[in-house]
Amino acid sequence: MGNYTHFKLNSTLNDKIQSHPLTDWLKKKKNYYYDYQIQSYKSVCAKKDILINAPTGTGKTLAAFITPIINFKDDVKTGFFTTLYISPIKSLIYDIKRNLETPIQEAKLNIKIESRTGDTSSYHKKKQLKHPPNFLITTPESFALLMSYKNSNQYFLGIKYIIIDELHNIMHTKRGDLLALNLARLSTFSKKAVKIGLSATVSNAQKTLDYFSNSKNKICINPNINKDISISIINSAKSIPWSGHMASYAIEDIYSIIKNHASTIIFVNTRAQSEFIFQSLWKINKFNLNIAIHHGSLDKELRLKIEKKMFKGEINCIVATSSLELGLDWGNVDLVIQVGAPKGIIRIIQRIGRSNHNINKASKAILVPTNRFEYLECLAAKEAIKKNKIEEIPEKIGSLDVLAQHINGVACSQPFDASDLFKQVKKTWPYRNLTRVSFNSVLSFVHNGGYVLKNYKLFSRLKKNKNIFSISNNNFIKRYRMNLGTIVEAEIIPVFLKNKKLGYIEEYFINQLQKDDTFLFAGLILNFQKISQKGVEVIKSNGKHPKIPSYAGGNLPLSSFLAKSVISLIKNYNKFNLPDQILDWLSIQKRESSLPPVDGLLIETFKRNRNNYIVSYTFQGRNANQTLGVLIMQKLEEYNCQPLAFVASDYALAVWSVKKFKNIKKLFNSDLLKNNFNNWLKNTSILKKHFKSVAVISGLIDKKLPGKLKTHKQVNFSSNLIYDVLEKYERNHILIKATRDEALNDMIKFDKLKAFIKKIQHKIRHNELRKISPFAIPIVMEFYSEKISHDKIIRYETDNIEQELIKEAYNVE
Amino acid sequence: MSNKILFANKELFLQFDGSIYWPEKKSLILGDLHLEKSSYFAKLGNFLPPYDSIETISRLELTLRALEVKKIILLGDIFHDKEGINRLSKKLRLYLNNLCRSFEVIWLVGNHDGHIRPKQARYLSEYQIDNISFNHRSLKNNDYELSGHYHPKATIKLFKIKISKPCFLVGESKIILPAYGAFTGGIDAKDKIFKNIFNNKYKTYVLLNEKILKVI
Repeated sequence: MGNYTHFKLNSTLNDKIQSHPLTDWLKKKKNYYYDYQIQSYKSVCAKKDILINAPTGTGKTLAAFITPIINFKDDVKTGFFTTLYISPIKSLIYDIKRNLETPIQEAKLNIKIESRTGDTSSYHKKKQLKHPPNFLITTPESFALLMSYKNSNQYFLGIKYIIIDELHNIMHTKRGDLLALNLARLSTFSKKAVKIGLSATVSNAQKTLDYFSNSKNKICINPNINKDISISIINSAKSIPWSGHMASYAIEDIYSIIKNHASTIIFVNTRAQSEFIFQSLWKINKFNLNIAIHHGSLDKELRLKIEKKMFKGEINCIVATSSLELGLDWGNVDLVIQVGAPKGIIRIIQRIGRSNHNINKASKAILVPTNRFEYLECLAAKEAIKKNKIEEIPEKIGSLDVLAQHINGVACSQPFDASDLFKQVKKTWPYRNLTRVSFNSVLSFVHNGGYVLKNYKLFSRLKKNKNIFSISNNNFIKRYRMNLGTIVEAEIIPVFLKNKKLGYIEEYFINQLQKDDTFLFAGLILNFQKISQKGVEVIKSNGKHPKIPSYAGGNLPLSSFLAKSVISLIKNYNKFNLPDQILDWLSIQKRESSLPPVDGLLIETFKRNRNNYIVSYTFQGRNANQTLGVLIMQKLEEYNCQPLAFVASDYALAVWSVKKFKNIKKLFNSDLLKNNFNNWLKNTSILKKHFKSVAVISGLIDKKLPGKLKTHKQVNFSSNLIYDVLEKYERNHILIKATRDEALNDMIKFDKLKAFIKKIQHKIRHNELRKISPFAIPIVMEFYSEKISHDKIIRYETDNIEQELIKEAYNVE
Repeated sequence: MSNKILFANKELFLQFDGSIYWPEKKSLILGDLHLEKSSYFAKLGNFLPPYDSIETISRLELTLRALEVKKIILLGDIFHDKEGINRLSKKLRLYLNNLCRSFEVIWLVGNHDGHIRPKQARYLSEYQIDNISFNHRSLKNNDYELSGHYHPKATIKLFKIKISKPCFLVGESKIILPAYGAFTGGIDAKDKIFKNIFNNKYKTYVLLNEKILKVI
């Protein structure tokens, strides 16, 4: 394409590039470097850490690898192993390796590339330890494992470049904490290594750069490439549902769209949605299109088979969850369909980037809202993308359970001085504000439990000699390696159809089933038989109305940025070209009640079937609304209003009670988060849920390996009991603190709620209505759809309830 | 709060702490204690809070203060492992010795216990009062019997939230007690094992914080 650079290089660097076989190879392909790739080369040669901040499909991989490849001949003189590449996504690792191997082979570069993940054979892993490749491509977890080996300082001694891909995906998560800690340690043995970070477009590139680099010499590189995105919302003749998340109304429209495209990816938000859409498309597949399904709980072999077919272009359409959304380089996809709300701009851009994954072609995407509020969310996302507005990734401080795991890992590798390690940990972004007191508590937990009243001195995991700590027994090294990682999955068990393993399913879901209950999994309707030693045993079913599996982790959080955009869109709704049904919905809402204020809170109250409803349009996301719901229930209880139930969505929260709560404006005051909150926290299971993952990550109890029954030596009792006892006898223990911090931040969104209540306290608009409003219909309906199975008879009843509500709200007689 | 039941024509009280009180004989019956389970796991490198023995024994002390008890029947697995008793803190060991002096303690042997025990305890593999026998693990016969071993627990739904708690399983001729120890997990009340033992006929009494809930 002859995009010759105008970027100034000194003659040495320029000669190096011009004379390199890679350059010839590119030219032969009628290609050349982009300016920003050259700029990246120049910066890395000048020993600057860099962040490349660009959309997918714009040549980021080459920008990252240009220096390791071009300087390879010089670099290899002082150490065979020159480059470490880390990506949080396993499937991306194979992809990167494949993409690099082509130019390396064709340009005869003689660079040895190998990957290392959990799937690498142990024979190969051992070999790799003795003879590292030139470029090693790996995951944060496999990297952490390598760092825990005794000679890791020797192993990584000579490396020149560390590339960290998909930063936006990992920063401000527990995986990010683990990676940051290991990178800080790595830089103590390979002091000269330059860090190269890659990220999708984020709103604050400097912050992303600071997250992984604390070098003084660093720079953000922005290619200034805007990939064209053509994005629209599906145009269906049918009416958009009031509530629900299954998009059954649009299935025929989706089918005719995929028929007219060569290759489509349909992204959904939950695995339940993926099973439903897949099944529904096959029911109407008159043209025998090749439609496949892909989600994280499918068996690995099945998944790889699908990926391979997709790569070869043998599949017309694939229904996928986030398991497919990152990085994969499938040039032939020409359309992305997003079913369900986008939930966040970064996420949706990433997904859309899968179509026409090439810098020169516009990405094409169609959004399919599954209900009315989602329509608004889709529209808000579309507008934000048009204006190039992106949310910030919410920051998270380093978790103490991850720190405990890391300290354990360091001890496995070499004896360490506590003060030195503390200083090293403080150099990472997530732990920059860590106090010595907290560090010492975590260290003493790793040492021998860190309990006040009684210590396990006899059984210490670490040996202590003055300030130097080392591992006391090689068995602890083995256990550390078995338990490494920061992702604690829900307990899952394998699903078997005769002797074929279909994948894994959450245990709690299966526990609800009885023999002969049917459910959707791996694209099949299955009939539950029994749980045996092997796992879940199923047979194929002819039933037409399966219970749809619901999975933990299906609820993606709505980004605050997108929530705000939805509110301001509602305010300015007449500036948009909306379909009639949405226009009616909004204008009748405005007439009968009012639209939610941009800077305040709309609360509606009305009486229905003798119950008193309070509906608050908070737009705070489901988790925060869930917390508010419980608190308000408690308050109504205090006032003897006899609360009956509540339901929360991303946008609103409805509570109903037998008696009327009179002082609505006082409902949301700061009290709510004080007395009511502390009361509630004591009695909730939320802390216990978090404690479980903290206990596993910190090494208090063992990880359950997927699909394997616990062995005798593994701890087989509930973390709930441990929590209760620890809370009772030593509530200042570091693990209780870690749990509380995490739960407050993550699940309960405490700070977010505090700020919200403070902001709206005196800006509450209370509309006392005589009947339900149009906006309240979806949230009230949600209550029914939550409880109702997909049985036909009950379905009919919900239709009736919906019709009733609409008649009331729209004033139709 | 306790639930009175009629079993083998005797009045027994299911206590919310997981024990059974038999007033006629002034006897308190306890399921598996699994004392020193935490220190057993600490040896393997899992530093569980070392407060399970004190928690279990404090609970027992509270119950003993509230009732008139002469005899304590321990249904086996009193310690989590054979050396467990040696790891018990001095204070608790003293308490245990005193307990065995002040009460008639029937110390049934379980599959986890070793041979070390307080001197005054009566060390037996089975025990009987009137027509009721006491075993660690339920035997396959139709005699009236109280036993432990399986640590039954039940899952119930309260306000949309599922919780899992220890429970008594009560059949016509057999009762299985929940584990009494603080750190003991368990087997679901609906498990096949129990269906076999009770021939499908049994009731579940779940231990909630301060009461017992009969599950129908």
